[in-house]
Amino acid sequence: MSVYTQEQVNYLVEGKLDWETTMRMLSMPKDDDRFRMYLNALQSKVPWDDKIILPISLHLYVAQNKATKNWVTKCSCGHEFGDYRKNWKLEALVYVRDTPEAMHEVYPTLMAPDTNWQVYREYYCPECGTMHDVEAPTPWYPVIHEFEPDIEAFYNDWVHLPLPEKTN
Amino acid sequence: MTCRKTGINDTPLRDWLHESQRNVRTTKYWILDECTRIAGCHMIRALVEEVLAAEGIENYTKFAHEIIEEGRRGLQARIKAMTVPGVYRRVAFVDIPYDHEDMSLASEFGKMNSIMHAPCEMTIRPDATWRLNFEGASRWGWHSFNANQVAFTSGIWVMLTQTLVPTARINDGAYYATEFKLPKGTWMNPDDRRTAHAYAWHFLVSGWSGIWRGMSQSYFARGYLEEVNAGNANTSNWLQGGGINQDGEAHAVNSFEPAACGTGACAIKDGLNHAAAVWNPEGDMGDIEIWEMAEPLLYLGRNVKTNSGGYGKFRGGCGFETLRMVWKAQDWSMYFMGNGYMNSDWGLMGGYPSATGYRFEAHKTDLQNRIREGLSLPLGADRNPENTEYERHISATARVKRDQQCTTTEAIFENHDLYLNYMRGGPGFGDPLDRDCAALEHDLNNRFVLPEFAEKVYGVVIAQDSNQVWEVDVEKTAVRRKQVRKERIARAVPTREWMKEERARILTKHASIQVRHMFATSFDLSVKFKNEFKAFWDLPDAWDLPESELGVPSFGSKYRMDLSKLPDVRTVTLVEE
Repeated sequence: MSVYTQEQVNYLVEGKLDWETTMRMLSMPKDDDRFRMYLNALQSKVPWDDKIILPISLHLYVAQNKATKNWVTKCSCGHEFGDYRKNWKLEALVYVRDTPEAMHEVYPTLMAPDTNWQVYREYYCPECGTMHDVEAPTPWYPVIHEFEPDIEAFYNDWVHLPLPEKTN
Repeated sequence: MTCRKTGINDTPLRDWLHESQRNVRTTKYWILDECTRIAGCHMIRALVEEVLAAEGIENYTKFAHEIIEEGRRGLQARIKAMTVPGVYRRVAFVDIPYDHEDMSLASEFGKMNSIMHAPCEMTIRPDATWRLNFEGASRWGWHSFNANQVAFTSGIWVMLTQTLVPTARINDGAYYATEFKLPKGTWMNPDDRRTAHAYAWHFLVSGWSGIWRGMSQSYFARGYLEEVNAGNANTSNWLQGGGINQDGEAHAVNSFEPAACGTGACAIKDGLNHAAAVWNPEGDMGDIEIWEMAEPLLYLGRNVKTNSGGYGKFRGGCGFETLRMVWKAQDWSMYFMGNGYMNSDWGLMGGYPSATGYRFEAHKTDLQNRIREGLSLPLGADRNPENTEYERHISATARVKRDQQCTTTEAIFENHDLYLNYMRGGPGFGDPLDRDCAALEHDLNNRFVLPEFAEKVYGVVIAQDSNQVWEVDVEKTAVRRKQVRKERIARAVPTREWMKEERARILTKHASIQVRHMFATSFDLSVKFKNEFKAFWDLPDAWDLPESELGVPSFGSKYRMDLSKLPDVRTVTLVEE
């Protein structure tokens, strides 16, 4: 079993871990304590002190609202998208690239999809404008609810960490 | 349809050898491969016999059982060690652009546009068993991109050895630990004996991509960032064709350059440029000199494909492009095989998909005279297809095809005709506005990204110095990026507001034929998918999308005859259908 320091995990989260250690992480059996140290690293990066329960995207977390103890989906800027079980995209802002002109803003002509076949849907945080996801479906495609984690099973049976209080 | 007997008592049959040699690009290596396969069988047989002699049949059988059981438990243990239980949903598509003048089809009913659809719901249970459900997939079609259930499930194991289970011990145990649902009638489990499967790879690799993106979500949630892969390149273009080669021999060409496409970005680093294909453990584009010996196609350029990697905090790896000139061939034809109108892999967590493919070919180029007269030639990269740079160095009356029709049937190529073989890039990870300025300087100075798109997508403020070296102004970039975020908010609308507009388009059935055809076939095969679609868009009960109203050829939509219906055939079913 591999063991890493909190400092090494911090560097990993920043994308600045040395390659030798990264290679070891890739090739050796996984370190059981990673998730706990990962949460520590992420918690120190966000400007709020609600408890992070599970990261779900680069700037999105399932977090425990400190006041209500509700579990919510929360942006690193502090914006809350509501109950963590709901699809956060439905509470986001969306910009749909469904014309050749809009596609041309991001790729040269001939290197972007034909919008009669495929569109790009960019989901932004209403508060800070971070782009949390880019969907690339056909027109008409339902907004995809990508991830419904079983956090209780994960905490209780897999990583054996105390489950944060939840009121919702 | 069935396996073919190609040899008896370790000797290949002569008809097999003769036929195969007419259809492969490097005959000697193919023969060597055949011999190696037979030698491999001998080696394994000898080893098994050795173990049997030493341990006895009972112990051997017990060992075989145990090693498979170990494989089953091993996959479960790996799932528990690496992922997070829950439900993951992703989807992938690929274009079937058959309604085009460059698709010469023997069957008129196949000449239509459609889209292949692979929705993937991956469920990881608390006991670390898992289920891969592709309900909602579109129907098989009149193309050769259909796959049988075994092709679909078997390929996944190849990929898993490079992702979740990177050991040499993967065996049937992994199969026993995995539940598949591949509904009968879909492109990955056809219910008709008329279907073609010659190029199942076209969508298989992308059809699986939802699994890898879902798994990357779980690696990310768990903190194993080093394992995250935003996706893979659509590993194409496949340059294929043939004729009489430079040595006067019958020759089939299948460039294996796609084994070195761009890889997807990771959560801690960029994807690799022109480096790999997820289906191949070894990424290798091969040496120009060797390919030129093997094929009557000279290289006029081989370069990193600028702007082909998906943007992101960490960008996808760029693909590469080779410009080939037909030389000393006779009766030569080639075609294109890849994605053009659509991307098959998405980005992850705010990263963009990679660029789509496009096609460039040129005929009647007059290059023979241009070479003789010492005039300029189309060399190097097609850096920005909008600039049509190659066309400036060939005859003004050359016949050029520059478009997104990246799937074609064979076209005649004369000597000195041109063919651009563009290998795709990988998708990106994370919001591009988070990308490090120094990394963008590197991208610009290595021509991995076009300056225009560095400015527009990454929000960097850039300038070239007197040596043409690009520099990013970090302070001005920080200001500009704040502005870009405001611009995003200004141009976007709440998702639920946009959904009202999209719902109106669905009610009036405003979409291209290919989009409607894809949904119609998926609806026909899955009431669940149809009901979920209607519920999501809050459509009236009466709303329906039968294939019959689309006005396209509908062969296969009503009458289908599965192999299992034949009197002398008993099919093997390995998945939930």
